[in-house]
Amino acid sequence: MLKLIGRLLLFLPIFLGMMFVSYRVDPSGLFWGAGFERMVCDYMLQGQYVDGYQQLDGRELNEIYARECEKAPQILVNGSSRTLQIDSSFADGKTLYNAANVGADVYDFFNSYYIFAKESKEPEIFVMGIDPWIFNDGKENIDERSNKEMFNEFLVEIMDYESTEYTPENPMEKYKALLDPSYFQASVDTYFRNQNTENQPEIVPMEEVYNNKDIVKSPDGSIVYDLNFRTRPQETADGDALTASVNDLLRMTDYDQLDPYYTQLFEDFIEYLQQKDIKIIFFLPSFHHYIYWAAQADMGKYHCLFKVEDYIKSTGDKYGIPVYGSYDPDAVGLTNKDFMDGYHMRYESLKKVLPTIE
Amino acid sequence: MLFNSVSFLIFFPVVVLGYFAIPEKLKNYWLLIASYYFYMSWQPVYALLILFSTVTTYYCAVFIDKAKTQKQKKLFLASNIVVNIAILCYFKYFNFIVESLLAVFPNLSIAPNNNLLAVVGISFYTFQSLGYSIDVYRGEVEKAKDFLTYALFVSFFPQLVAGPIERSKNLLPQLYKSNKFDYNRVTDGLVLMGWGFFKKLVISDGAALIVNAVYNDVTKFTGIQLIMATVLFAFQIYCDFSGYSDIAIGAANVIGFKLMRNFNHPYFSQNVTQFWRNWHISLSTWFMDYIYIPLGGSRKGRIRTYVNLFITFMVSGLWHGASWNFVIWGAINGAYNVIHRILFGKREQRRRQRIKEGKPVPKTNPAVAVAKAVGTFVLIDFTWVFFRANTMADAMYVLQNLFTDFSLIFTSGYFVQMMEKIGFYTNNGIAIFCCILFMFAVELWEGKSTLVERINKSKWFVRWAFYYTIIILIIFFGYFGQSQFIYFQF
Repeated sequence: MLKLIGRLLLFLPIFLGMMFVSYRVDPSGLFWGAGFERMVCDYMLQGQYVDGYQQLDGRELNEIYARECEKAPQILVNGSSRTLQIDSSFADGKTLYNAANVGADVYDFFNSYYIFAKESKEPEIFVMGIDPWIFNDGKENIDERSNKEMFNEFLVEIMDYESTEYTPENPMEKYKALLDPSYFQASVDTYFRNQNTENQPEIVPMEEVYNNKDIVKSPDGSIVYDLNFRTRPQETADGDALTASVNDLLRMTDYDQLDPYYTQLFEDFIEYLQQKDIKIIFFLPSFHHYIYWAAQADMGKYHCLFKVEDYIKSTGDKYGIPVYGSYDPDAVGLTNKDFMDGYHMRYESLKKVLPTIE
Repeated sequence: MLFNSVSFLIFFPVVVLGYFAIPEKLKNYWLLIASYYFYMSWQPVYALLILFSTVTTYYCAVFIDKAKTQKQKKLFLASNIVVNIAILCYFKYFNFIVESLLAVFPNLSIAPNNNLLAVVGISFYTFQSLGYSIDVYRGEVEKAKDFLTYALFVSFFPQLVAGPIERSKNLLPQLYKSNKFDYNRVTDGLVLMGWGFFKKLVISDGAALIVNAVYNDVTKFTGIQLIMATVLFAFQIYCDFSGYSDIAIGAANVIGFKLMRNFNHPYFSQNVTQFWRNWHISLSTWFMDYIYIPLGGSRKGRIRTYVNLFITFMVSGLWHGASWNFVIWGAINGAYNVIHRILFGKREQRRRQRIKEGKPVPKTNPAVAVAKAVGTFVLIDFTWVFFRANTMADAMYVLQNLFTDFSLIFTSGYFVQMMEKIGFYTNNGIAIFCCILFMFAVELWEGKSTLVERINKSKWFVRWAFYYTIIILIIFFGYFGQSQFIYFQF
């Protein structure tokens, strides 16, 4: 029997080799995160600007960044694409990471903090970019890209809430994949696919960042919109805003009231952060006039947009939290020229509304 | 529990270690429990059926053995055959018979039973049981000494669900002997299992992805696509079934039992008669011993020989599946064999006579041998169309469209485009063909010996190169989706 075991051990190199390849290539990102995002993250950690934003899963990237960065950023920014341009120049020499996500919903709102918290990398200052839809009680609230499992984990692990949908993950479970030949086969496929440079992110030289034809991801997580989008004629930008205003406003339909569960969670979260001495800043990114006017013109449908702003301001007062910006562009002195389309302010206009973060 | 499942990877070592660790007198109990557990992992209720068949056959054999007159013996044998065939017919053929009757007499007040269980392996263990009772009747084997041993003979897990259909004279005596751990025997068994897994996981399951894509929706495909799927099916079914048999024989060998060889390089056969001597040998010889010879074999004149041959193949077709496709498949093979017998029967007889007398037999030119093997493959592959097609209409569509647009394959890019549409490249079609060539190379290397014998005669580095190649090919190209073995349905 011992002889047999001895002989069988001679096959071990094959299986160790298989496990090594599966672990290093990791096609599903079980150990290292998804391949493309991992490469982008590596570049960001080296201080590089990166092209290939259209292929990027921002949520995955943020998770990898939170895990891989050496120290916690002093300032953490969340929100949607409407806050994704907030960069280190707002940080007054502090380190900043912008963890906002395109199409961010209420899950993303909390997850963007949780990914750092679970790595024990809590920021000193948390800038909350608050979109009006994050309290939407209707079915349009949730983006298909957001991570509900992680949100449930956040509820249980951070907020001490009960969640029937969360069962703690067995950390050893993922290692089973190393013994699975199918995972090895996927690793080999992925390895050869990655040899094709077309599928890899590219570094954008510093001097080309503002001339780039595509969106650029900055090392602090913020983005620089592509040259064409930023420099297109104002009439085109206003035209986009007008088109958006005559359609249903983004995630604002089927929105009867601020969801009491989420408002309660929001306030509990604020109390939790304040207990941890994390400074909070509320930021309300403005809408283009056309969008805001459309909401005013149909109060029956869009009344919650205004209620959210009121709620955020009163919550700010209640907890002593500064509130910057307003959904109403007039309230912060913005004109149509401050917008690239109906929903997104220009970088320079953000500077008018959000002061240096201290 | 499939051989290609994680459950079996746990089950098998536990059974083997337990078997060698427990006292001698408990070993057969242990194997019996393991075998029933193995079988019940499909449907626990199946166990009742096999138990019923086991009890019936065991006691019929006891009564046959004790019977004083030939008439009594015959009565007990007949009752056992009736009971076993009735069970088989009910569970396997009831719906087929009813549907066929309804097609002819639509006004009959009978209906198919849609709740009927498809019992895994029922054809295999029924035939094994029938063979045992006939052998006892003929006095070719003694009745089993005890019920436990007989129950293990019927349910022995490596060959329970898809053969080889063991003969009582081979397996029963082995069950009375003690088996101790034997390094050489265990490694021989493991090598054979590895080879079986290679054939199943790499070639059969890989080819199945392409074959299924075509045969599950045949009307979408034409010409070269149908040909490719049909050729691949020939390899799929061979590697599926011979792979299963290798795993079964290897697993039994690890425990200490020698099962009969079930395949002997069938695609190297020089004619269809030879093919059927080399394909599913345990079933072919079963039909020979218990159907063809009792019908009179070749002893009652030429015409009767042809009729007996044809009937045997028709029954073989029906054994494989309850549908007209299988009946036609059996009929075509029967016709092949009859025609071969008419054309070459005397020559074959003379050749066998020379071999018997130790006289030299003229060697076949290698090129002619290859041409004959290819010709035989084409004939056999033609019959596989009926075997694989989901319906008779599908089979007819395939045959009518096999050569549609065939001339276009010489047009630039056409072949590649057609292959892309059946998922040939995305499903590793090229690697599968390379592995098929590798398999044939190994079969040529084996020569007249078995794989294990050939490997044991080789130098250590050849052996280890073979082991490593097999494992690496399985890891790189194996399909790990736990697909069923084709013959489980029979």
